Amino acid sequence: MSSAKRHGKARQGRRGLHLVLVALAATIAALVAASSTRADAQDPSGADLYAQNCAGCHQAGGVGIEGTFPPLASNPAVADPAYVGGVITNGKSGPLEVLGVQYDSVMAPVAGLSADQVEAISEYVSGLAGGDETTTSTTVATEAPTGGDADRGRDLFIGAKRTSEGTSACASCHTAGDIGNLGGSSLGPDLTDVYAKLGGEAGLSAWLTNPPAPTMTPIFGDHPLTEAEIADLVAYLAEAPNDDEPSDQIDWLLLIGFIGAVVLFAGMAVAWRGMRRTYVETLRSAR
Amino acid sequence: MSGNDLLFAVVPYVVLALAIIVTIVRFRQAQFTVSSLSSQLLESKKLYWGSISFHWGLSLVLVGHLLALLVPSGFELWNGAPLRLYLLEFTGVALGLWAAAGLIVLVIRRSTEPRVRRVTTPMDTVVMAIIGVQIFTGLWTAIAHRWGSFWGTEVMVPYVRSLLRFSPEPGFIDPLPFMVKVHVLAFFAFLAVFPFTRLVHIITLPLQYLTRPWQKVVSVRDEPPAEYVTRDKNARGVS
Repeated sequence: MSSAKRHGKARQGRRGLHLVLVALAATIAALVAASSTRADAQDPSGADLYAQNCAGCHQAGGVGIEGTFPPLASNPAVADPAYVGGVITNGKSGPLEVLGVQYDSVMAPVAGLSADQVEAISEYVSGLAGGDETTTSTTVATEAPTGGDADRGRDLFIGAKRTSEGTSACASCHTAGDIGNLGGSSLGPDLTDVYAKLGGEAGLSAWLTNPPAPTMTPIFGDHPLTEAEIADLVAYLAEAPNDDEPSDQIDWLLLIGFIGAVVLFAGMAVAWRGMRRTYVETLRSAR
Repeated sequence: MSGNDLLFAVVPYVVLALAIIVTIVRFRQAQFTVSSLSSQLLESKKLYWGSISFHWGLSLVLVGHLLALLVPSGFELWNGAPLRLYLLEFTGVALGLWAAAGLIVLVIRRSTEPRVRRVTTPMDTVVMAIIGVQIFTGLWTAIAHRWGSFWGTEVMVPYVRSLLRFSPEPGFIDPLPFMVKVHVLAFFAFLAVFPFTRLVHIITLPLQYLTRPWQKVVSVRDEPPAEYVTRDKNARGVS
């Protein structure tokens, strides 16, 4: 290649680099612009947001479910909007006494809310604090659930039967009781004892009506479970603790995977034996 | 904009733009460098054990990821029976371990074979490190946060599709475990270095290999059998 041509190539290379830099800058600018306008959606009121995000567990008007989900109405702790905002953003777990009743439940941070929306809900909820003294908590049914079919619930849980909205099976993120030999998924919490933890049918049904976990909201927000599906799942989860729990799940997965890898290497040794030999070795063995 | 938004809604487009534009520029201006620069002539035995397992293991796992992206509902139907789910997951873990073992062989080869070491560039090390992180976090996810082929259809697929629709929804990634996030970020790192490294050879999928007659690479450096050596052994290297 002549020197002039080489210089030409170098110039072209620099032009190419400039092109890349310009394209990158444009991409970044477009994205920053896009992401800053993304949040400017319409603004539903605090009451609407409460109904969408909170009422599943804390019930309409914030009456709660006694022993499972604490009431917000007449609850002096929620009079401070900053406190409410903190709980919405960070979640709250562990023992808690509200209006003389003990609670020990888990509230995950509520996902998908902007700072303005958290503020709107906090204002609405703090308004409930001083509220209506006559409101009474929904009471919990602690006996076995009625109406649902545990076998149908199990099919829904493991995905043998699809939900009407086509959402993925519970087992894709959770396990409960004895599902197959290796259990369901371990991404989300083990739901074996969830029926008791959430205070039985009422609490679990409320949770499933509008699952408030950050991983579940994007999935079930627009594709909720039907009442019949919830009843079946509740019936199944009520029975789950009676199943034998599978043991040593991780070891089995690793062990069988390891055996599979060894088999693949053995296959390499057999199937491509000739490939490993050098030409000289082939000549030598042919004599 | 939160750190999560930056990493999972902006970075993917930056690295994708880099990968596409720089690859095109490199292909137009330095086409002969779009290659993996084979080192088979320098060392072939360790290469066989490392390269075949690494490339086949990784390619099949990659096909699995792409299939899940294309037909997530097919995966959900398949996984609806626990036994089928376990079969799929065992296969994935086996292929991942196969690829991991292959990568370890390749790393040992690069660091212990003097001739291969001589042609190893710093970017080769970077590529091996990124793919090493990718395989490790993938296996970690498969084992500790099982069953990825199942929850992936509801979490990862909508996220990747949101990126492809140009309306990124990083909220899907936000609540996921650390190792899963690293797995995703390692792929972005992979895309970012793609056009600057030997990784570009991926676009040169040699489809003609499927139909052309096989060829054997012959090196004259191999020690020839004694009966083919005609001259006096003591004279070797002198003349």
